[in-house]
Amino acid sequence: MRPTSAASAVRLAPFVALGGAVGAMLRHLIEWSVHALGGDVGSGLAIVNLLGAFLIGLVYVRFDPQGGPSDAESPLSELGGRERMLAFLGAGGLGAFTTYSGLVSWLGSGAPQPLESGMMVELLMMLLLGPVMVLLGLSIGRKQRSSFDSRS
Amino acid sequence: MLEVCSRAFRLPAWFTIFLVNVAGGGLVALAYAASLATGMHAFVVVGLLGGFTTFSTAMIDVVLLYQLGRKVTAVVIWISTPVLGLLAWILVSWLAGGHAA
Repeated sequence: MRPTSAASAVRLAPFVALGGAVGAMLRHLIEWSVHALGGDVGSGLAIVNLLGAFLIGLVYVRFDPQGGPSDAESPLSELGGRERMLAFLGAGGLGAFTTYSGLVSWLGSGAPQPLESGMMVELLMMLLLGPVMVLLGLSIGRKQRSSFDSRS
Repeated sequence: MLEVCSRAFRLPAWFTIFLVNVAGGGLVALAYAASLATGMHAFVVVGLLGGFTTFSTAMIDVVLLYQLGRKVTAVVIWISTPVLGLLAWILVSWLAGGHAA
């Protein structure tokens, strides 16, 4: 799902940057909301990372050049094509919406013992459910694509 | 930018994401050690480094590598990314004088 050449990566960089700004801001707002509702840092991280893992499955099927319907069939083709949407929503938006550095800083600074029992449970939940959420997104995306293909 | 470098050096995309996520662990430790002001901390840690690293792409790489039959690679990056990221955090924190650890 990445650009096929260095030139196309440069060409798509503004879309990644724009998506990244939106994704990082949304993550910040969700983490802040979870904290305001009494949740801990790990809960906020789990929500954004697992939601992002689910959404990237959907985005991959919908916009990857090998994954989804052709640009001509796509209702969003007028927005600039599949590669740009993938750069904006996938690499930029969901790439920045989810975070590994946040996970590491939570583990590293959140407790005197980085892997105390409560954190270990939340970490394992994120790592085990991450691929499951991706598979769920891919599965729902493929079903939507099948129904779209059968209608057209 | 790393995508451009990875294409120029013909690195696999999943390996670039793996490197980005592990390096992000060290860089965020550096940012914590620098004791940045609140606004700058939000910019660097939440925005810049949060956007630099990615959980969702790492997870879809694990799933797609597994589905392509590269099961050992998938399991290795799945487990080693958080472990090496945390080791990078510990190493950089130690090198920076233990401010973040």
